[in-house]
Amino acid sequence: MEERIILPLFPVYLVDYLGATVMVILSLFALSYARRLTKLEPKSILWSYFFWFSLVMVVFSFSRGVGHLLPYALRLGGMPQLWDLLDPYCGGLNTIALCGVAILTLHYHNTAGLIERAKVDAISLELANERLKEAHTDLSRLNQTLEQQVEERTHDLRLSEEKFRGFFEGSKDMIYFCDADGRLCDINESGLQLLGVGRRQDLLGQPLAEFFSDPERCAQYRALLGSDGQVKDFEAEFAGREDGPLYLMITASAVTDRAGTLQGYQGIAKDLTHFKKMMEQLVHSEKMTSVGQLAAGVAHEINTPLGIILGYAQLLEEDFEEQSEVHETLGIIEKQAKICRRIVADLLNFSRQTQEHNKLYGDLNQCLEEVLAIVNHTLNMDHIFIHRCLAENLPSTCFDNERLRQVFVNLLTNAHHAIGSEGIIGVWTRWHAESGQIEIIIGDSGSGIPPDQLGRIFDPFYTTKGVGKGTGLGLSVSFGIIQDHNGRIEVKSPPQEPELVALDMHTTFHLFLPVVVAGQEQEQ
Amino acid sequence: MARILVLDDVLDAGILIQRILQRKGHVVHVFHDEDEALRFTEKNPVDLAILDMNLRKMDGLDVLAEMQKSLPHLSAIMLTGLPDVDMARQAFALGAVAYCAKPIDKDRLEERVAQALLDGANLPEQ
Repeated sequence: MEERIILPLFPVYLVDYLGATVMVILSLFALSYARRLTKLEPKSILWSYFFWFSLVMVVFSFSRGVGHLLPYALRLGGMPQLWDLLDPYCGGLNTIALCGVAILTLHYHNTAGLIERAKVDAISLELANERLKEAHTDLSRLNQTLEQQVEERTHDLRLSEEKFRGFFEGSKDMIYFCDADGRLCDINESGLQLLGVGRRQDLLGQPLAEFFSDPERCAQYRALLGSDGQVKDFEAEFAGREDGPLYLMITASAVTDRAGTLQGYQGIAKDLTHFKKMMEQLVHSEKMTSVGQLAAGVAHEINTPLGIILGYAQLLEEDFEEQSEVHETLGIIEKQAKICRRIVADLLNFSRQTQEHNKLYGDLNQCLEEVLAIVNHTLNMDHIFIHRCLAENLPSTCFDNERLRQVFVNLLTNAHHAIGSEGIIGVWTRWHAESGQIEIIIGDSGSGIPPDQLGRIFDPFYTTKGVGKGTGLGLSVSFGIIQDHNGRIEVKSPPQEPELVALDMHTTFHLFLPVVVAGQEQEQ
Repeated sequence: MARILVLDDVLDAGILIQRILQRKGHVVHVFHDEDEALRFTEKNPVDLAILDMNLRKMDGLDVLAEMQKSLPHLSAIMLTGLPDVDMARQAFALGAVAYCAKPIDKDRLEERVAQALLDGANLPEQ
């Protein structure tokens, strides 16, 4: 007999039943947990995925639970056929729920990728943002530094401008700027004073070339600037001033822009007028001294033999009767020897100007009057009229009457020679209280002195008079005598002073003598 | 008439003075060497000495001072080619009666000598 072993199904049902229940409970628990997480972080995709996943799982666990538990309940309840009716729906619901889980997972997987990418993007964006921020900080810092730098530069620039403006305006030398055509476009105060122009506007726009006395020198200046781009220590004489020519030492250079185009010229000119005058005087006095020494040496050597010739001639003269030929011949020797003696005496005087002093307190006007009284007759013979204008307030002073007379005679003789016949000799004396000097002017309406001779007239042995008429020592001796009185002698031909011009004076000699009060010369 | 000594380093110049003064009746001794002149004055009385300032060995002032040792009342006329105030002052201090620049004119020389002899003649009376 066939024996069938029948195993009880109860444990199977129990496991199925319990399993379904536990699944429902666990899925509900998971849902509530997911919900809490979602509430905690509503934006979290993961939690929302969990929530939805749990929800679908609840649906699935219910539908499955229904699928597993309901048949037992219906079978136990005696209506197993009802299950046959529900079974397809239950299976469909399960399938739908599982499909939902799959879709959900797929969907969230995609989203997670997107989120991941977005996160990467966000991070890079944040990095970029940070870099931007840094750049901005740098930029603002730079901006601030730049402002500071600009401020510093402006300050430096102002200081520099002030410095150079001060240098420009304060300089005792003339500083000028010219445009490319050589027209003045800026000049400092010293320049205005040197050129004798009152207002800057009057000068600006004028060509610098107009001030050169010598057009040739101006051409040299321009040629040098053109070829070398600069001139250094260029000496030039400027005209146009009231008080005589101006000697300048110019150092100038051409100004070009970066491309090398000529923009103009800038230069500094030093006033050499005073220096030059001093140099001339120095050279002159050196010359006088050396010539004087030479002349004195020669004169002294000649003096003794000359004296012997003169003496013996005079002695011999006595041995012969007057009117006799020998007597007359000896007379001629004596006369000529005396002329030589005068020349030698002049020379010795000239070299020994500081050795003999016989200065006495007196009135210069009186001294002049005495000399004029002597020469008046000779001048009248040549129809020369003397115009006197002697200051009444002339103070007394110490002077060597004899030697100043010599000076006056020399100057009046020269005036006489310059006129020849018919003319005026003017004599003035003036008292300059402010400088403590007496000025004596002796002028003539004669031919005047040509400019090229003006500088030489005080040179020893320089004469324009014919042979035998002058030794060329008159003025140099006079110069020495005046110098010995601590005075100075100047010549103007023609004079500028209206008073002198009005009287038709063509040459004037001006003697300046300091007033010496008695007592100051006591040691003499 | 006076006894006059002339000392000049240029003999011709001395002889000239001698000639001029001889014509005025004076006895004139000419020397061009200072030693010879000094030796002469040691032994012979002289009324007036005409001395050149610039001699070869000494200057005129030294010669005058030396001569005055034997002739204390000797008067002198000094001649010089280079007039100098200081020298003139010293000459006068030594008793010179005149200090003249060379070349001296004949007339002026005669005048000065006459004056000097007159002064010298007056001296002992004072």
